[in-house]
Amino acid sequence: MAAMTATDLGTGYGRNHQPTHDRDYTDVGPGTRGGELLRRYWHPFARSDEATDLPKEVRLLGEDLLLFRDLSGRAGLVISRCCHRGTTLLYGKVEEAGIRCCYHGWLFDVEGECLDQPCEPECGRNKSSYRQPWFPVIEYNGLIFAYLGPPEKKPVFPRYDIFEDLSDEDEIVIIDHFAFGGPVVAPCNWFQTHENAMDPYHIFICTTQSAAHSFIPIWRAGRKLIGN
Amino acid sequence: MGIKATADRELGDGRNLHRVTEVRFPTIRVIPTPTLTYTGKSNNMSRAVPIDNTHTKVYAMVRKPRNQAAQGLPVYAGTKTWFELTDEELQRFPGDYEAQVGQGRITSHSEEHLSSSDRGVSMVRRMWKQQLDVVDAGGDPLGVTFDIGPDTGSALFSLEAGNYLRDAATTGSVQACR
Repeated sequence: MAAMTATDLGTGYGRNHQPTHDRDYTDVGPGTRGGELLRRYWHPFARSDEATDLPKEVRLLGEDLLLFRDLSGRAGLVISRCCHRGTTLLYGKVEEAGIRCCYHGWLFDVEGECLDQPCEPECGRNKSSYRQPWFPVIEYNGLIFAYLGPPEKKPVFPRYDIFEDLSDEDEIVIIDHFAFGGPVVAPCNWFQTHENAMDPYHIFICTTQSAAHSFIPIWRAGRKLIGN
Repeated sequence: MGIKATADRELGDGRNLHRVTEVRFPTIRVIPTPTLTYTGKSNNMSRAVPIDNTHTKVYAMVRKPRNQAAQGLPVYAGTKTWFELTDEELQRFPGDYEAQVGQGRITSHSEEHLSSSDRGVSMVRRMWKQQLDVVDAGGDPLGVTFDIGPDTGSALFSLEAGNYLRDAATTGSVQACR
């Protein structure tokens, strides 16, 4: 039994019960410092095969959006809420030229232009003055990227040399879950996941402990490859 | 454009393994496969895409020969993938996912105790803060370009990350991560 007169050091009593995070690193929504920095770049948000004639709800940088592919093959990313009376375009019907709202049939193309208003005079003689909010997208190597930032600051799309000049024998595949085991969506902030990539020391502790059963033979194969 | 870590390892046969890992703005990580199934430039790149403040999706793009299987998930004890593990097995064989999600939905920076091995993490954070200030001041952040070439609407960047086998005699001794 410890001496009754000793004072325990370092116990959990009196610790900070109101921990805080630095929002500069963690905020991703519109109008936040982090969110506005992120909005200056193209981001992948779906695999190309997720854009179909059945609209799909997606979330990116804290914004709820709707992804679809019109019957001419163009992917579209719009705000879900119809600019007319506000129902969701999730129930919209996709056609050759765009998506038609289930409520009053307004038709919008992938850039939000209103092409038809069947209940309005002359099928919408003022239809060009209505626009469904939309975002530009680019499809590249099986992923769909979006730019959610200020239009005048839209950068050109970045490509990287390791994916260029493919021979007929090569292909590019997309993996949309955690590399060493984990679901498609991780329930945590992006920054703690991202900064892990510049934490080389965890590899020797964390990554190899979990994978020990499979990595030991793989590392042996690697040693053979490199002649050791 | 970002931050890189290099590590050199003597292989004992006159060669060094020179490994370069990169983080590029804003969400890109280029981590050459640790299994050395490919040497040379990395065959993959991944992005940590923020869905919202408490959800993240990781997209990896991998270049590979058509006749080779993509590097799959680790197989635990030779039989199970991560998706098939029980709660107890996950607890006994945790990995990167468990460690990162285990920090909480948003990690508490106020309770951290960073040390010398966290230098890379500090560099990522410092660079992020610098670029926040650039955008606040009306500037354009790292890596964006507005020049459109004559025949494309895109910009081509060269990556350095990879596992490189080099002659130890000409590349010198083992160097620490820098």
